[in-house]
Amino acid sequence: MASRAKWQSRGLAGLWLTVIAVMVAACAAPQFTYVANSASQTYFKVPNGWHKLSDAAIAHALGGAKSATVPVGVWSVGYDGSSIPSASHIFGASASQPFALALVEPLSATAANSMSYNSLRDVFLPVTSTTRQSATKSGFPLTGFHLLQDSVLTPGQGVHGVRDIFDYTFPGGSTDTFDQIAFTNADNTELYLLVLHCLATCYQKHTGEINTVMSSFTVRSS
Amino acid sequence: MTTTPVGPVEGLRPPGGRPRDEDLRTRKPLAVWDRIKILLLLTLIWLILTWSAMANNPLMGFGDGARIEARSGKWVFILAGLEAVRQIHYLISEHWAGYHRFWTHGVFGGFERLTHRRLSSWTRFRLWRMFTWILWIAVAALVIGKIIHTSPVLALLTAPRLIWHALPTIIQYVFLIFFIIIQFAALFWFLSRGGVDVYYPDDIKTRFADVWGQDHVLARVKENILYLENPEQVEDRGGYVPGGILLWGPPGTGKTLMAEAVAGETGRPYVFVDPGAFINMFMGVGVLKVKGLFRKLRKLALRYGGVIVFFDEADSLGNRGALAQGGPNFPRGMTPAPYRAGCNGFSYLSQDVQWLLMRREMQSGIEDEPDSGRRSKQIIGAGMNGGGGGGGMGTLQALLTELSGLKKPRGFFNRYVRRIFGMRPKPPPKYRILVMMASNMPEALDEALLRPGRIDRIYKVGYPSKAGRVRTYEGYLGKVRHELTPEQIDKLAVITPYATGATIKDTVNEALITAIRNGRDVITWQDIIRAKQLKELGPPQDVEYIERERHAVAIHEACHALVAHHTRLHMEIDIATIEKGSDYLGMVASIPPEDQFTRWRSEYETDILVSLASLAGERMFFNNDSSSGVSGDLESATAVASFMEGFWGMGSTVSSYSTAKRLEVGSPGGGQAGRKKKGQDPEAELRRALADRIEDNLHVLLEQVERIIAENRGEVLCLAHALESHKTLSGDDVLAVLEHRPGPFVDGRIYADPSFVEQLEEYHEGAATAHHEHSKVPMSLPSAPKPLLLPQGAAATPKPDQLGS
Repeated sequence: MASRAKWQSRGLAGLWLTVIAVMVAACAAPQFTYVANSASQTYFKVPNGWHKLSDAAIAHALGGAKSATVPVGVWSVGYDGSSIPSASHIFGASASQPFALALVEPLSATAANSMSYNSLRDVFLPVTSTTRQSATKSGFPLTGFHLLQDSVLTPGQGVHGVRDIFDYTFPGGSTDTFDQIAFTNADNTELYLLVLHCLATCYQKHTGEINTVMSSFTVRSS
Repeated sequence: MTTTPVGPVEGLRPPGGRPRDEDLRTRKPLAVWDRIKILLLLTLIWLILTWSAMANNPLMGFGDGARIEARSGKWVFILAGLEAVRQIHYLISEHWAGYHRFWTHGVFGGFERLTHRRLSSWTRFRLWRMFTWILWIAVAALVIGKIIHTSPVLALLTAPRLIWHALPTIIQYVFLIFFIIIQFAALFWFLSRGGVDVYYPDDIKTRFADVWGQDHVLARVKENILYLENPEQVEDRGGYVPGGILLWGPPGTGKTLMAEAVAGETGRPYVFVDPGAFINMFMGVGVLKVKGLFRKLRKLALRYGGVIVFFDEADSLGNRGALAQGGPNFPRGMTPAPYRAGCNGFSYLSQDVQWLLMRREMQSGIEDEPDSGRRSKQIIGAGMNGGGGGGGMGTLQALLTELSGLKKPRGFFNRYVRRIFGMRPKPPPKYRILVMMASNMPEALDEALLRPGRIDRIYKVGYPSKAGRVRTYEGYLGKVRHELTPEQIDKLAVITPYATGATIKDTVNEALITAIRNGRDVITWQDIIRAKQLKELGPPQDVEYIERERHAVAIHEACHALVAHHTRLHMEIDIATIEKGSDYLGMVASIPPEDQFTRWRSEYETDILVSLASLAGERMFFNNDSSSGVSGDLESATAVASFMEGFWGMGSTVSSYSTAKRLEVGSPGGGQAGRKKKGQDPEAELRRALADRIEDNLHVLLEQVERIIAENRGEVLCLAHALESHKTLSGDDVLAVLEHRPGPFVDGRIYADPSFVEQLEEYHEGAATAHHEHSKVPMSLPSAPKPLLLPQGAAATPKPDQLGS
């Protein structure tokens, strides 16, 4: 009887300790921040230290000074690896830390009809030579395009797109690397975009981290 | 030599070995499961949240999911922390008596004492209710805050707006509920209403002074009120206040009035429960009603410091049959129907003998002693469940539970939330509820309802005593104009032995109507007597007998009256009539002038004499002819003679016939009834022997009554004449005729004239001849000399001086 009680109390103490240990372990910070848009079933993750930008700041950066809100139906979210997060890092030349921008946008019927892999490549910045030439003519400020990687992705369920990694030189002389994945669904009605931008040196430094972010970009088309 | 100490057998605890909670110095150790169950539950909740997060995001792994949920669902961890603190608190309490004492006696106990000292029960109840509301609102705020992703305070502030926005949807749902569910709910709700009326202190004007003729019961009831007013008087000395009173007795004796008076005197609310309140169409409505009633009672009791609930006709609550009654332990203060004849309620017998008798009574058929109360056997032997009619369907059980459940802790928060914090549930405040019940069928009540603790006092509200009747007559006559003297009121009380408050009120009212109909507004003695006759006999059927038949009926009743007058000294003639009623041609009714509780052999014999008088008289006056009208008389004479001989030990033997027959032991004088001989039927032998003895006794008594009638032939004719002339005679009138003096309606002095009696004899001869020849009576009924016969209605009331003349 006494031995049974002893074992019982030991077991109880062990159980308590386990529960408390698990709970304490749970208090540690998670590795990643998981970003999701359940409506469009779009997911990606960024390292836990990255900061989320406000919707208004993103809208402002995307739409210019006149726009403070994201157009209806468009979902956008930005995460900045910098300790001082700023929306200017989307297009700015001083992105010393990785900056991720995700966008989900419905496509008009015209856009859907003319959708191609090339148009997906050019969706954020001019990547194809034709688009770059016409952009240069119209006064596009970035120069020194250098394509590092171009691949076609078909993750399944009709979702397809491209991943392009390229460099651009900003007017100030700094060279930045852009890593973008653009998807569209089977019937070309939605555009899913994840762009990661930082200085070329920064990109090289954080390649592993950036690859984790980019490869986590998942779209589940219904 | 050494002895091995014997420990308790495993799994069994010696009787009385379990210590009371109050005697434990430390907290009772918790079982392992109780220690960990909440923590396990919270861990499970946390895992479920993690699983949910993982299911919502295909990228998320378990580790990150768990860590993320540990942040977003931190309330789980807060609760887990609180639970851990609670368990540590318990653990210390289980091992450290001082710590345990500090919390139970110092902190929680101190708080209890403080609130009891500073706040009344009602205030405490309100504060607790407020606290409960606040707690629920806080929980609602938390939940809403979680749903709309805001703080609980903001959620509370935005709640009205949310409700306003959600109003169209809510209204839709309400409509849906209204049309689909509410139909049933409303049906049950409406069915569970009604039957319970609350009267507040000012509504009731009845006082103890309004209850007349029940002084002894009233004194007892007053005693209970004293305790309701000042319960500490008993409770401080370790007793408890009686919480229930049953008033039982015949209808109209003032039970309801008494309960009203209690409410009027105490200034407490009075809740009247209708007899039909618990008759329900659907299962469960009665239970709902009982619960609703007691919720209301508790609230009223707290608010007004006490409440009186009165269940009128409590027998309508029904009973659960014989097996639920617990054998022969009859309700206190009552004798069950099978033993009504027993002088001491059989309580002097041992328990075993009581059981035996009870079983015998239940087995025996109605051919046994056909005592009036015997019929109640069907009630005792009723079904095992739901028997006895009444509310049924759990209503009675619900009532029993509520009656004894008043002292148990109540409320969700009190019983569960307090326990979570390690506090014992608060005992409920002392609800001062006085349950009063009234019934005229106490044996139909469930035994469990009457046990001490539920119904503590049982009082019989019987027919008022003579003094009570006098007081009641004075009370009701005091409200009208009358010219009755105190002596007449006293006489009235004597001649109405079984009058109750209700019948007295009715009689006085009838007398007033009679007086008003005669153009007067003052009630006279005649009005009262007429009202009494009207109430007792009903309105006359105004059937005219043919003359010879009228005479025969008059002779028949006159013989009864004469023999009653001469032999039945323990009773007075109340009324003699040849007015045809619904089931009789005429009657002579007697009443006991005093409240008498025992009956004697001599009295029973005179009863038989009076019964046999009709047969003896008819044979004597009609040349040995007799009518079938004596059948009822012979029936009662035989019944009484049988009981005397076979049951009551008033004959030549002692043993009880019913027992002798049941046990088959034979009967004295019946031969060897117990042992069956060849060709002999012991039952028949026994019957014959008994029947012979009864017949012999009746013959002896018949001869005696014949002598009495023969000796007083003239008086019979006088009485017959008075009856033929007036149809109905009061007791005083009968006496007036026999004693040749003026009565209330009849002047008996005319019968003192021998020549008039001769005329009556001639008339009788004529009527007897007409009877034999079926012809008309050759002469008319002799009329009395005019100056002597007082006109009807103007007859003198029996003043004391006239009575002596």
